[in-house]
Amino acid sequence: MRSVNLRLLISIVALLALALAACADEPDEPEAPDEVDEVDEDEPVDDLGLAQEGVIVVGSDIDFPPFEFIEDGEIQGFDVDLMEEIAARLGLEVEWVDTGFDALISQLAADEFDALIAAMTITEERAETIAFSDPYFEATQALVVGPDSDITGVGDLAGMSVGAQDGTTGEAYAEENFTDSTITSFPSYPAAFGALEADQIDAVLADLPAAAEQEARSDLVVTEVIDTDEVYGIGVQQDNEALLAAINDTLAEIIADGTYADIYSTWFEGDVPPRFAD
Amino acid sequence: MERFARLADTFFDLEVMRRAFADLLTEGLVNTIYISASAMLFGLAGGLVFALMAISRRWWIRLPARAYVDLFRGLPAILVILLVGLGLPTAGIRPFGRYTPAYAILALSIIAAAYITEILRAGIQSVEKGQMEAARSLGMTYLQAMWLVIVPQGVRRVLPPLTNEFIILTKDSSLLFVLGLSLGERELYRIGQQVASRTGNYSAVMLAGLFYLLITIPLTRLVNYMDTRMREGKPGAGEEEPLELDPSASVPGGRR
Repeated sequence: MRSVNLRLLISIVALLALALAACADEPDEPEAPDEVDEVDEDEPVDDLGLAQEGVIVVGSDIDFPPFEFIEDGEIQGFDVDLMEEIAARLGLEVEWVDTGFDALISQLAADEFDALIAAMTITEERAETIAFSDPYFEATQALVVGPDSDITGVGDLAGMSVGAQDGTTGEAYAEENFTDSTITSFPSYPAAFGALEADQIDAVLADLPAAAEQEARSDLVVTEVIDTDEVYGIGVQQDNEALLAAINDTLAEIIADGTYADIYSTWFEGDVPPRFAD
Repeated sequence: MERFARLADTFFDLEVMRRAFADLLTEGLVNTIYISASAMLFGLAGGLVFALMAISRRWWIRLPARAYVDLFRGLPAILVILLVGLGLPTAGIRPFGRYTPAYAILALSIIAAAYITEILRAGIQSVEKGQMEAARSLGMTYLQAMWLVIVPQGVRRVLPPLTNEFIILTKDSSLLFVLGLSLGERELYRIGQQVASRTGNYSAVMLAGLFYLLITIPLTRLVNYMDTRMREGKPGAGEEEPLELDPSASVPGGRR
């Protein structure tokens, strides 16, 4: 009996290993056309520097409503609609890759995807590693507190503990401006809001759209909106100027013909910011 | 070649490492050791209690220990950390107020206790049955015999696996980032991760890895040493510790 079981176990393990190897192999394949000069000799690749003809692989951290999230088994959100629209106009199909926000930039640089869209604020530090498209969204920061909080704005934050998401501009802003508060960073907004609801922290500084979404879904409250002058951009690899240009042109088109405004009003209330109105 | 250059840039950028070094050393390393050592201590205490329960002859004492081990050895560490660090305060149970590292230590202690229970149980049960019978026949109570005769003999055998558990615990402490750690509370991985999410550069994480090795490699060597010593018998006969056990046979020139 024992040997039979052992054999069964071995075959299961072997099968698993095979399946794993198959999965692992797949994303490796379209890696060849890395350097632009080699592109023509290798596989057929269109002039956007994509590894696979007709498909643009886009990375995102898909846990950030209303920009990108999964509901009813479907990837949706503002970023998702915008990216799908851009890709459609370029004759491309989008293949989404879900990854951690902190890994996005280095994975893009390592050619694991062709572009990223993740409600990512354009910063100089990030632009050292990847290239950003023209701005596609204006973001402000919002201070979120519990339902019974005495905090009415940033003026009340002295001695309080404020949460933020890792690597976000909100975190940087909090560290720079809330010097009398304890800043605690979390790997994601849900984790930060969770800690706020558990009363482990007093407030969370988050991008306004994410904060508004949270306000709608829970009893947390947006108590002040802070204008930090930040804009989101789509990231592409630094040496892929063709794709960057194509995205920028298409984005301008989408804004000019009013499609941007349509997508905007699907996900947000209020007027389209002037620079994105047609 | 370009790929290797990029790898070097993203993972082994000395300038990024240099900037993160002070934080990793004075904050990260200190907190990592503080958290894992505390968790090990509490885990040992809990593990000993559960191990004694697990070898009881009464099923209703054995059962809770069994259930505890099954549950907390079977769950991913990150889940237990979330459950303790976020779940308890959400439920209004906040024995440590808002001091996150304490919840972290509790979570890791709970996990460690589950593994240590099994280590100690195995250790105790590896002591020959006759020892217990002999101790009891001398008039010791069960607990006396356990504490004075069985446990001391078992402890020697469990030192290597216990050290191993501490190594694992040290590495598991890298999962605490899910709870959110503020300045001064951050452990090694957290500091590296923060640099990574700000810049997209993983060099600080790699440097954090070096600090982990600084803790774990000496401990691994220690486990191997203990293992060898146990297999070859007590020192004295061997060459492992000649200086301490036999000073007269010291090196020429005498002791320093």
